[in-house]
Amino acid sequence: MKKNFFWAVVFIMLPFMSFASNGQDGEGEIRFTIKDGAIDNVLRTNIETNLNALFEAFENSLLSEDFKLILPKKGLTSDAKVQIREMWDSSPFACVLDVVETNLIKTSNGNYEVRNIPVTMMSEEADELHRDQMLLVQFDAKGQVENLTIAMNAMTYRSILANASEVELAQRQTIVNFIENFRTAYNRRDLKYLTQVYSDNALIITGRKITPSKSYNAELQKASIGNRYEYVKQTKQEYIDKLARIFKTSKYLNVDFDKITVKQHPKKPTMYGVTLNQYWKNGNYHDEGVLFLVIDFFDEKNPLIQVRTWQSFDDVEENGVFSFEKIKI
Amino acid sequence: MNKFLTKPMTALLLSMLLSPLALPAQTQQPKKIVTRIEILEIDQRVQLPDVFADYTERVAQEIHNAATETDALRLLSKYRMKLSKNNADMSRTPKRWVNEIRTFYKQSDVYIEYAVIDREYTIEWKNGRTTYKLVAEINRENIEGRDKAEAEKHLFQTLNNLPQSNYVVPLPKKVNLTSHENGLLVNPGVNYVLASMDGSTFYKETSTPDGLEAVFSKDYPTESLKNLMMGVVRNNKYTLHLAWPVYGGELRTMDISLKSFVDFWRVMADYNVFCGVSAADTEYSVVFIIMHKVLQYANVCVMTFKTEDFDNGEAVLNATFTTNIPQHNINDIYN
Repeated sequence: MKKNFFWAVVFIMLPFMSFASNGQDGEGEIRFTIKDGAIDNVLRTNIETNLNALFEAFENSLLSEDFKLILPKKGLTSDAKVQIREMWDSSPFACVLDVVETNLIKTSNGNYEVRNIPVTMMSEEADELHRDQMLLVQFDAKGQVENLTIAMNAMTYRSILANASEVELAQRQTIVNFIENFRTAYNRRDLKYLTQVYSDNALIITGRKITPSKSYNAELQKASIGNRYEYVKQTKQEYIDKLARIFKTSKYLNVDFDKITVKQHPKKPTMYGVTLNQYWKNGNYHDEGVLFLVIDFFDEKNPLIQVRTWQSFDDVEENGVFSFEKIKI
Repeated sequence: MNKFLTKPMTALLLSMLLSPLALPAQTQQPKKIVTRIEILEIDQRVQLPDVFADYTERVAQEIHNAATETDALRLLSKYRMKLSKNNADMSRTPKRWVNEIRTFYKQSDVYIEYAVIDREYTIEWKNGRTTYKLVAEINRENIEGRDKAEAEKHLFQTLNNLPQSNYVVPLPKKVNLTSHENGLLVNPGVNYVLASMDGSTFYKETSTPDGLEAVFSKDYPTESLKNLMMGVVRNNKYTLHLAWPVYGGELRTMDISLKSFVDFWRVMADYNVFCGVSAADTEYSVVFIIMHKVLQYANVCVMTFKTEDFDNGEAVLNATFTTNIPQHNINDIYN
């Protein structure tokens, strides 16, 4: 029964699945491309190679008789091999996209992450709600895969104001009020307030415009076109410490928000996802991008920011904006 | 409007008069005299709201005072303004634009065209041969020159010093009213987002000389509470106990006459007010949205009203008050 279900899913998925070559001709099909976030081209190549080899192994396993997973000999840590095998035994999965262009996110411990790889879980136990998932792959500083996890269920929004009340209308304005306080805090360099409103466990991903070093040779500079932003995952304390330095050293600081969109979490009614355009200027540095915030209003008087991510406009155009579907909450 | 500002202005004048005395003589510096920049004639100013005229000239003055074009450019970027001459962009040379407009605007054949398009206002100075154009974002913080925290303090001070209002809203003419449920008449108001969130007021016919009376009875709770917030219920003695979360996480409180509170927004004339009522058992949630007509920001008051409060004619009504909520930068918050 279980095997029948598995093959039924594989059969349905076949038109959407892109399989690697058999391996005898040399390199497999390139599926993953790192678009942004890697300023080191060697690292980027390593991560792309390891990611492609890993997913080629997944596809080969799906086509084998006993679904045996033969992981690449290189490019994974030994812990990762154990963890991935356990995950595969629990439920094989398939990536539905032919080409995934994604960003590399640098984490606070010097490692890297690739988020939001869309997969379909093939296990019989995966019900309708849990079949579509987003994978998160973590790499060490050399670009070896060291972990692979499921980010969250794919969910769709629903319009909550179809039968909205006057009170809900007021609540939405309260959210905008919170966002304006949040923006004001940056312009006032109010670290105390910002420390209050970020959850201690907040997921914070910041972006930074990269100016290629003058020591780069022409070839490297050419190769780095497109890698204009570096994404860094930080803890709350790291982020607050960084802000403190900016607040202390910047003679001029102006943060502006525009195009604010608010959506309620489909399952957690006190959680709201806020997407907005951020215009940041301090000194001669400026950047523009899209901010995605998840704010928890469980304690209405003391809302907490659980997620803060930043993406460049280019990234948003190519990969879409962060949203509840792409973040595990 | 001035009567509301008497006390704060007096305090401000006193502080201005007294402050130099508090300073030691050796710390006083000679003030740099800055020329007042004008780029709008009086007959041109009246064509646009005062706040925009003042703001436009204030920014022109800042640009004029900027040491270099680079400094001026930063100002222009901060205020998100665009400048042009005969459709050629001059946003890279704001000081030059200000210098040119200062002589151009005075010419006898120059007139202005003013328009608000979405979230921006534009002013064009024209004489048939040359057109100078300024496009500015409608952003309360920039235009008033106060951030949210400062604006909240300012409003708190203003409301805290409001005198008791005796303002009487004139009854509408019967001919302007339309039929409503339960034999009532309605003076329809504009709505905001929801059909039920509007500025309508409700009346019943009487044998009095006016022939009309604003409804206020527990028999018509929704209509009565809308009337209360639209200021048409006369001689009410309700007190609003405002819980006012302000910037920084602080919760301020204020007791204020409900009549004075609602009349203030009507008298100011710069605001549109909307009211919606949600019923739950024996109490009502009254949502009162105050929207600035020009500067695109909102204040929101959510008040609780119990059924028995109708009988007493006077009560302390608890409400939360959230203020200075920008609307100009909202894309979609209701879907």
